[in-house]
Amino acid sequence: MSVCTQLSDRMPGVALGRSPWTSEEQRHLAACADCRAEWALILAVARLGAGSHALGDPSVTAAGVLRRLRTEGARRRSRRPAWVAAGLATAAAAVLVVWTGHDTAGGTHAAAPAATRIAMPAASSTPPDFPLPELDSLPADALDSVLRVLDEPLARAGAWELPDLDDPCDQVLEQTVAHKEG
Amino acid sequence: MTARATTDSSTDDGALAAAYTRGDEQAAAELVHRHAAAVGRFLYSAGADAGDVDDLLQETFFRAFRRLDQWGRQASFRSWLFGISSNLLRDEFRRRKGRRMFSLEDRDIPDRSDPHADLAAVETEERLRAGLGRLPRLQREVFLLRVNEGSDYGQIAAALGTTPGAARVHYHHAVKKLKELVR
Ligand SMILES: [Zn+2]
Repeated sequence: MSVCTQLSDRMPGVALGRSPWTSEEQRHLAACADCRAEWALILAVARLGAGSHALGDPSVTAAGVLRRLRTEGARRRSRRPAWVAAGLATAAAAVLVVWTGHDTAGGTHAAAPAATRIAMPAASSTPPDFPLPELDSLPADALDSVLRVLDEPLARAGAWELPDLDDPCDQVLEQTVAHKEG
Repeated sequence: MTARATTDSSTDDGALAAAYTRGDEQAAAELVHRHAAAVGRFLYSAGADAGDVDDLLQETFFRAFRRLDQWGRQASFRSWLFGISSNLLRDEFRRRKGRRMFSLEDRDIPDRSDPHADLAAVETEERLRAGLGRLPRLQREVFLLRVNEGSDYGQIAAALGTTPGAARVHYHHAVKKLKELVR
């Protein structure tokens, strides 16, 4: 790694005051116009970043975020019984079918009791709207954990997206680098 | 019902996040206090309108707390927040159908208390803002995370969904383009 590259790597840390230049680095800076130009750039951008924008009070931000989270939590809890019940009913029906299939193995599967065959579509297409007192008695945070786990596949979508699609040059660049890195 | 987190500066972000999932809102507030300035600076430097920064900041934290289970801890909490902010900026850009959502060129230069402020420095700032605005998004964001936050390439890669090697290349491209502006 060349001295210029080493200095380049050190510049952000030095500009942020995390560590000073060594005397050897200072000598190189004095002698190398390219490194001086880069150092001037880093200092100028660091100044821009430091003085650029007066943010609002973080307490206000925090209060706003927590209010939205509480509202969303309440909304989720209010719609919980119907679809949790639907999920449980579907799972129960599936278990019943498996159990019935096991019980009737040997050619009688198709002759499963009519009630079973009717119950499954009914459970999955029109969720019964009955309360689930066991779930309602859970503390709010425990319920949220349950709901979060149930929500996972949906919530995951779009969280970490692939590299920028609006920048094809970057994509090609990343593929090239990835290839080089093996 | 819930244990309150010790929210002094020695409590790490992971412990605060865990405390929030157990219902401690004070822990979430502490995380906002710790990281709001850096994330706000990133949003603004990366091109968000000054009037939108506070809303985008709130949205960043809201999304983060809703999806805390997705913070894999490979990245620091702050890097993860930068990633969410970056996605927000991109979504905003797309929502405006490719129209540039920001104009770094048009921003006012901040007021200076010194009336004899160096005109050359002001002009350099103007050129820099213009130059940053013209960089491709990923180059700009890599560059700003490196210079303003001192993030290393691994952290930047984790935040922006790229590789450390690509982040390094983006950084050097940005430096090369911007260096001419401050000579
Ligand atoms: Zn040099």
